[in-house]
Amino acid sequence: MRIFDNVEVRQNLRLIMRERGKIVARRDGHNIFLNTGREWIARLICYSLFSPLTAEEDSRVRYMGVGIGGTRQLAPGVANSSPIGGDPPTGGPYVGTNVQVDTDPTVTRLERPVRVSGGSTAYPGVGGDRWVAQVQAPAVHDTAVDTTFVRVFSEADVSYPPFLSVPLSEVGLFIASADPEHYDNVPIAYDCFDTLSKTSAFELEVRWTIHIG
Amino acid sequence: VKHNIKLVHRVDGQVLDVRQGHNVWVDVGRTWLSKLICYSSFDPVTPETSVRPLHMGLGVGGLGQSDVRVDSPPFSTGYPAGADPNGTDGHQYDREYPIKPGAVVSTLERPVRITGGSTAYPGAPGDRWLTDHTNATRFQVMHRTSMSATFRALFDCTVGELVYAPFTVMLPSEVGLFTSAADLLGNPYCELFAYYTFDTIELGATSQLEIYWRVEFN
Repeated sequence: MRIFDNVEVRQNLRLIMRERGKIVARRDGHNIFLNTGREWIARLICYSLFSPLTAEEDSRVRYMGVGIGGTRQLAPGVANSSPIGGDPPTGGPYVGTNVQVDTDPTVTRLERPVRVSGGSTAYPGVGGDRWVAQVQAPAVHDTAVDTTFVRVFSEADVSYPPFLSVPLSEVGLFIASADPEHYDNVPIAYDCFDTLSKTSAFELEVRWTIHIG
Repeated sequence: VKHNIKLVHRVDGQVLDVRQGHNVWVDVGRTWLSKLICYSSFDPVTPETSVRPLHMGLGVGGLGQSDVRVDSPPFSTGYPAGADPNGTDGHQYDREYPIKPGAVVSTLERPVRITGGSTAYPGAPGDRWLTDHTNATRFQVMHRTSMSATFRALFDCTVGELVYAPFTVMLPSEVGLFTSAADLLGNPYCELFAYYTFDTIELGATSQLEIYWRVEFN
């Protein structure tokens, strides 16, 4: 995303899987700032009223969510079978397709979101399910023009019974107006990555950096 | 070429001149944006910053200044060169600045009053250096597309802004975009976050200068 030729907003994403503190897998990539994100930031920088000063948009980045959708799902056998994505009569709790790409700015949701915690019912889930997780605050500024949002998904997050191994392949960044109990919130940024199979032996750290160049 | 700043000079209501160009989003602006998108705390929920664009200001500095009158009284006495944080000669700020290590553009180079007196910087406490957001005609925000924001300011010499005794003309050549953290009164060197210098425009008592500043996220 560019603010014409003066300010460039770049995003970088790093996912690190650890087992008892030791790195066992890592993914690095450039995600895409979605049209929804561009519209959000265009509102965020504005006042809608000058007296009293009232922001047009006041939600900032607050959540991350993960899923098993996207074209880089390398474990379709797991993603599309019981207990994750398959089997009649219900079709499984996380049933869906894997056609979404991270080069399309018109994406408006994770393709196959998974719960961070909660139950195992099919979409849209039930009350009490948590579909997105809060990032750490304060955000990290490695430089004055870099903002890194960090979320560590614990061993118990995402991969809880009956989901012993969840083949994660997509991640989204969400603002504070997202509803953590709602399964298809609208992200502002999105990325697909080669599958990382999350089990209760692993924690997953996601570091999402937005650079104002 | 896409332009993101447009200046429209009207005299007696007729368009005399239109300028278009690209502004410079200075370091302060980049830092501001990196803070605006995040929270410093969730308990209680606290944004890192909540200020947003609210003012524009003009100056007679910048590389675009080509009129020698700005180096003579009353300009040289009311708006002397060298008072900016970098101590420049008054003609140096540009999109390529810094011209020396560690120096950045963070203010106008030679800001001018919209209303007030004529004393040298820092002027008087009641001098107004920035557009007044409480006047709906002087600063506005609009969205021409869903992915852009346009800030519009109006400097109206017909009601005594900019051009008043002893300044029979005003010769702006730089403009800055400021947030609500800037002081409306009494501070010529408020921190700006976007900057643009342009070839001198001569404003008279019947002039109006309208500025459209567009930020597009494409």
